[in-house]
Amino acid sequence: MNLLKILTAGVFAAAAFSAAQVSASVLDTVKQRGVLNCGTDNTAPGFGYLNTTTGQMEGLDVDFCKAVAAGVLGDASKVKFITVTDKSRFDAVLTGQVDVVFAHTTIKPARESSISIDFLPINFYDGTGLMVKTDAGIKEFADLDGATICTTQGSATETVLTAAFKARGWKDSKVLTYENLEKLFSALNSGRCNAMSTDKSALAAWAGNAPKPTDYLILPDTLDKSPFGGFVAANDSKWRNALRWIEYGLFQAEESDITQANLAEKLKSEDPFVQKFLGVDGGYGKDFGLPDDFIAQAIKAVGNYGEVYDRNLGPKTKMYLDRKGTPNALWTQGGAIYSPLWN
Amino acid sequence: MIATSIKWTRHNLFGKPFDVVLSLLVIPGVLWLAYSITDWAFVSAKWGIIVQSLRVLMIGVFPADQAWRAWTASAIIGAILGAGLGCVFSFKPHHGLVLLLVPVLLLIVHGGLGNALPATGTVASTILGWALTSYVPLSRKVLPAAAFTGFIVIVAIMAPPGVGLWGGLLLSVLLTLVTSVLSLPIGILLAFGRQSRLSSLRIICTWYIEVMRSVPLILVVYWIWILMPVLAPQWGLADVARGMIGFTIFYSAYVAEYVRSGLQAVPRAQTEAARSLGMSEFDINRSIVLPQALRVVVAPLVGNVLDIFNSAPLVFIIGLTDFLRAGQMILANPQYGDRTFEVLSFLLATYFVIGSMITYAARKLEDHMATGTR
Repeated sequence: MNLLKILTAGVFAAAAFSAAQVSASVLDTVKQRGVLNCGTDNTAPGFGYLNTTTGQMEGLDVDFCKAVAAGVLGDASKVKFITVTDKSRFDAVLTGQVDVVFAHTTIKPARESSISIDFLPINFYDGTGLMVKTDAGIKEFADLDGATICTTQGSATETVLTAAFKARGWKDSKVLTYENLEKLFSALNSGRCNAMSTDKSALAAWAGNAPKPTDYLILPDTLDKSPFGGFVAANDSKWRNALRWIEYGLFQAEESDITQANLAEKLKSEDPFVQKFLGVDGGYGKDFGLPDDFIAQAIKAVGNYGEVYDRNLGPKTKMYLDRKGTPNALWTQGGAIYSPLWN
Repeated sequence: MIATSIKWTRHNLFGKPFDVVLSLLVIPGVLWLAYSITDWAFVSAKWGIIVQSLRVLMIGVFPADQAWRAWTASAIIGAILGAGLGCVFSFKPHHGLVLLLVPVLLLIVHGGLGNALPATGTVASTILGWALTSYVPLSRKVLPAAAFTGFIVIVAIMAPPGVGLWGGLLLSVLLTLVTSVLSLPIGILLAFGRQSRLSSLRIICTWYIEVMRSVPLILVVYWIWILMPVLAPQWGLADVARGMIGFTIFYSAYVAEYVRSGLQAVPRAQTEAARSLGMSEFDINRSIVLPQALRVVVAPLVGNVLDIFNSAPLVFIIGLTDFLRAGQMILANPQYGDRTFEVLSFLLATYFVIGSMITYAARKLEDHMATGTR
């Protein structure tokens, strides 16, 4: 891949040069085009996934794309999903093929400093977790001294586990790696491993889809943080700010108890904040170059953040991921989903 | 009958002591393997997942209400391939019966007539095309023109919902088809260019061919994918189109090398004779050299088509959902995590069937082409 990087560097220099000459915001381009090109994954259930039975795109990231299309263009159906992979997602946004990427991307300093992109606010907090068999009597990570912990090959989890062992001075603990999650899960079942370790979002899904979900226990510990966020090409604050506040709008809507179902009612609300927030009287859109009712449109399309979460990842879905007690809960409930002040 | 088979068995399997040992080890092993596979395939495997996701595997995200376009396209592809086969290999009614098994099987498994209909249409048009060129030799004359028209029609039918939506097995097939069709003329021109007497042309063509043959396909595809939007942002080419361009650029070099080997196989006396008759260089190449050269390289070119088809999954790198990635997409869902073998077996079987059909056609073609020279 290194040769590839060197080759692409030249192209980006050229791209940056031509971009500097044009210097129009992506926001204007999107409005002119009338369609949002949104980069998503299509193989990540719960985030960006092509449902193989219905043929529809679904997931948290997909809903964020729809919310942006609704906020900017007033119509959630005016979004074109362009599949990006772990390898192509940065190049896709840098070359302007997609306007924004929502593809369960972990926010890291190196990504913002060395790739010319700007991240949007965190829309999901993932982290490395551990899962054990309930009958093993293990309650937390500290109980795993001397245990065999399994994870997938080549993932960052392996390094995280080794570091955790070292920090605690555990000498007998071992890390075993498997090719994919399916093999990892059967190794846990057969007793080859005392615990399996991967992203918490994946653990919940594997336990939840097992014949008897209560057989498995996800430990409360989080070994490593993995905050997901969308991103856009760097140096376009007009576009980035519009997207940031659409996202914050979804957070705030949950806090203010505005849902897809009660939106029509709330639009008639007397509360001056709600009136301004939804763009009934005044609004926040104009200064961002958006319609004043951009938040109302986004909520109409996908609902508030809590609804988006529950639809795609919540306990009622096949992902079985409860928000309670995690950073994904609203800040008023002890989580980290927090919108700045709207006033 | 029984006597001969016993005799054959004794002679071939239990002839020498070592053979006896080998046979006693291998035969039960093979039987056990066959039993376990059959048992798994018919008893424990849950094939429901394949039936459920068949549409995504076949056409990816192509909109459901536009699916008729995909089915029409696959019927035309069937007719063209069938007609091509008919030129070299005569159609017999029992071939039709074997082919018809596919929709019948689908009907039994699927239960719904609506789902078996597209497959029936494709099989029917394949049989029609095959029978036509087998029984009406005159139709073979118009086949190249008809195939080319059919090709244009396919693209015209498939394009309106957006080229970016092509996916699944259909994408793999269309990618193979477009690449094979486009790389042929480019490859022929490059092959002539490499032998040209104009040294600038010769150097450029040689360079092109050598560069393309010494870099990996995935690099060319990714490179074109990045480069096109930067060089020509106003075109807004879809990922699929850029993938096809990358494949065509790459495989043209290979086609050029095959064609060049054919050009070199044409005896020098042929060109000299034509020249002494006063034919122009262009006419010599067109009506003397090229027909004889292509005759030699038809078989390797068909092999090249197989190569393209088998490389098609590489387009996953630019975010396209081809047949293989559609299968992986099903497996990524933890709900279906335990269906790995079902999905992979289906992928394997499909690739095997299509791939072996292409090699079979190549072999038949080779025999057919060789008859004249023997």
